[in-house]
Amino acid sequence: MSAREVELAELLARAQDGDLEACDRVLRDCRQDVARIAFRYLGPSPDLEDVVQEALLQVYRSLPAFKGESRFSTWLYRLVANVAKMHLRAKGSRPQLAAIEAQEAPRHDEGRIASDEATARRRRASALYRLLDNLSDKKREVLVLHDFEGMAPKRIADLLDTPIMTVRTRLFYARKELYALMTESPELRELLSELRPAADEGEPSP
Amino acid sequence: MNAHQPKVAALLALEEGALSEAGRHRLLRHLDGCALCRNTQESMRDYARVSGEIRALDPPAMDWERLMPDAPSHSDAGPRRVRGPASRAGDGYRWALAAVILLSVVGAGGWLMRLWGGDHAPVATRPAEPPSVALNEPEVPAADAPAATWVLLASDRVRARQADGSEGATGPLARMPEGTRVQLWAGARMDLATEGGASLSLRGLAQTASTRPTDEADDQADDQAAEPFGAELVLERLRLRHTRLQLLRGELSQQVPSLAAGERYEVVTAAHRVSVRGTHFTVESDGHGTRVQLFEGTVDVFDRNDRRITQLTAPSSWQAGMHADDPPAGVTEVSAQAAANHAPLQWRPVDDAVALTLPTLARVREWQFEHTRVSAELPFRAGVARDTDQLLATLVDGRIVPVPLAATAEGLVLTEAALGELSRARRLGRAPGNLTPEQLVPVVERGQPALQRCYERTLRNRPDVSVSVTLRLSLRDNGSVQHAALRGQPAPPAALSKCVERVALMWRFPSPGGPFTFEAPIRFRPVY
Repeated sequence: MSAREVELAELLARAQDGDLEACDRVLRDCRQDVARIAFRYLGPSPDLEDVVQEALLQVYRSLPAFKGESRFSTWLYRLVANVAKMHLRAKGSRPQLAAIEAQEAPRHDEGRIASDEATARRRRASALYRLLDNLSDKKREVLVLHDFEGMAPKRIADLLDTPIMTVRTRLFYARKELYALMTESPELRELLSELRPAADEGEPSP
Repeated sequence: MNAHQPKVAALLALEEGALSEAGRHRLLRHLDGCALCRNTQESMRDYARVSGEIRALDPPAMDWERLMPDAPSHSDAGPRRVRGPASRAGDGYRWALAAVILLSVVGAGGWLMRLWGGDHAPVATRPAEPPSVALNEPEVPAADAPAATWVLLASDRVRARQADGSEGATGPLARMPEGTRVQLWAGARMDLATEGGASLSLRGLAQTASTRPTDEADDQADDQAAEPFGAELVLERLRLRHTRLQLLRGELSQQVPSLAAGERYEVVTAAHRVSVRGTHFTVESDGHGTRVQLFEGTVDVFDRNDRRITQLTAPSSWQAGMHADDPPAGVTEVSAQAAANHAPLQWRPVDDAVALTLPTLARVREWQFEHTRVSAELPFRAGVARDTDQLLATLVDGRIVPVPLAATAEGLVLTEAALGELSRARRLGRAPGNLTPEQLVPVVERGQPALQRCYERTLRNRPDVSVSVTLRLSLRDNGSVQHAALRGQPAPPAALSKCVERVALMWRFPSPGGPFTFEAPIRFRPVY
């Protein structure tokens, strides 16, 4: 056990005994992880703050129930992932932004639309996350953990308590479905055209 | 027909350089002649680029240190400033104290989120224009203190009367105190957010012979006085731990967060009381009967003597004594589409919100923003986050297009270009198509056996299903079906809707020569 792990274990024990300062420290230490995990699941979404809020509250509420049977990071990951998944499930029954026929869009007011690269990246990410809504929960989760979070299949298998071959299979079919969706999505195709090498040499957009 | 599937596994191997030389040549030869596989390969490469970008993206910066209050031991220095759900944190003192601290941080973090325009701005400075709608944040109140309620959206033809009889404000982010009576004429809409975290959307119903105006409606002195209200709602009790709404008439859709022990949220109609624990549901009243549609969670329905009539579990619908020609009281299923049609604005007010003003326009049927849809039949104003730069418009021909917004001193409005484009009665260069009933009916008739199978499959699980529905079809220029939606009142079972819509998407009509939408009435009744 490293010194950091020992320190965390002591902190958790104190927090579970009702030490408010220890609770506060735990929250401070893990809040960035909570935000990152929620962000990976949801992407650039206006709901992110709600999910982070709910997840942090769940951490507070569930801390007394943490028994140390898994690593704290794994426990935290599962907790935040569950909150994010519940949110996505609930969102499924609310109205979604339907696919946009980008070529028919009215011309934008140039003064309002920022054209910097960061905004473009965020739009591409948003468009891709919208396509993820078409995948099943299980496929989406594996894809997000592997391709966006950069997690190894073995770690995903441990996290989800699933055989590693199942993880690989889900990942393959998730990507396959996503490629098909991308091929059919005019909105994303238009956004992605900025990324392709040929587009770099073309005329600047009006 | 040969339904070729893209060779994803082989293409992945090609991208990773894992194919043998011979295999590589074979696949490249195949790619030369297969547009589907070439497109898939392009999508794979695009995906690799974008997923790489996403991996490098960090969550938006939240200025934790600036926003985090003092350590808990110093937290009794004064009341905390919180907004929205923060005041609903845990039960025990120990956890509640910590939660108040935590949620203050998260709430302010959310403020940063809305300013997040670029990658991850560290500490965003607020832009000077347009001026924000002032929103004074409440101090942490006691559990039973009045809870703030804000107007998020109000169309034309709405009014609010306060408990003392004075006229209340209905503009975006105006506060509605306890005792306010909200009155809407037919077709109007008002969305509210409570400090307890609930979102409400009140809509005025069209008047029927069975609906009668209340005394208050007869008292109106303006031009609209002769017309009875389509909705009336009294905000009877607005406390952090107890919300009680009296729905005299109209449709009230609500999204309520999970309630803690001891918290109550209830809607009272003329004959019933609907009590929830955290759910998405709609209550409709015509002044006599009640209809409840439940999309998430569980609700209890009581009569006015507090005897429980039924407990509903989503997705389901229950009604009693609404209209004479409605089915008798009972429980039926509701569809996800119905939930989508009744979603209130889910947005929480923040202190940098601005007013968005939208007019009625010839080509727009519906607006979409902040995860909700708003009919464009009436002009309306809504409070939205300052960095909102566009919304979506559903046009009368069914297409959905993004519409840019411009900032003015009064708030956000449509850009001049968008206003001009959407005001035109018809889109230049693309006239809508047309088909006669003689051209439509044979195709629908040919599809009847498949519809019959859908119905029979539904009857296996729901032997009592008998519904009259409308199938709305949007056709492409070439006559293929672009979109199919089955609607009805009461809503058809979700399984039936899905099956019918799937079948209808395969129909092929004669070319209408342009986008064309029509509706076909269908009646599903068992034959004994």
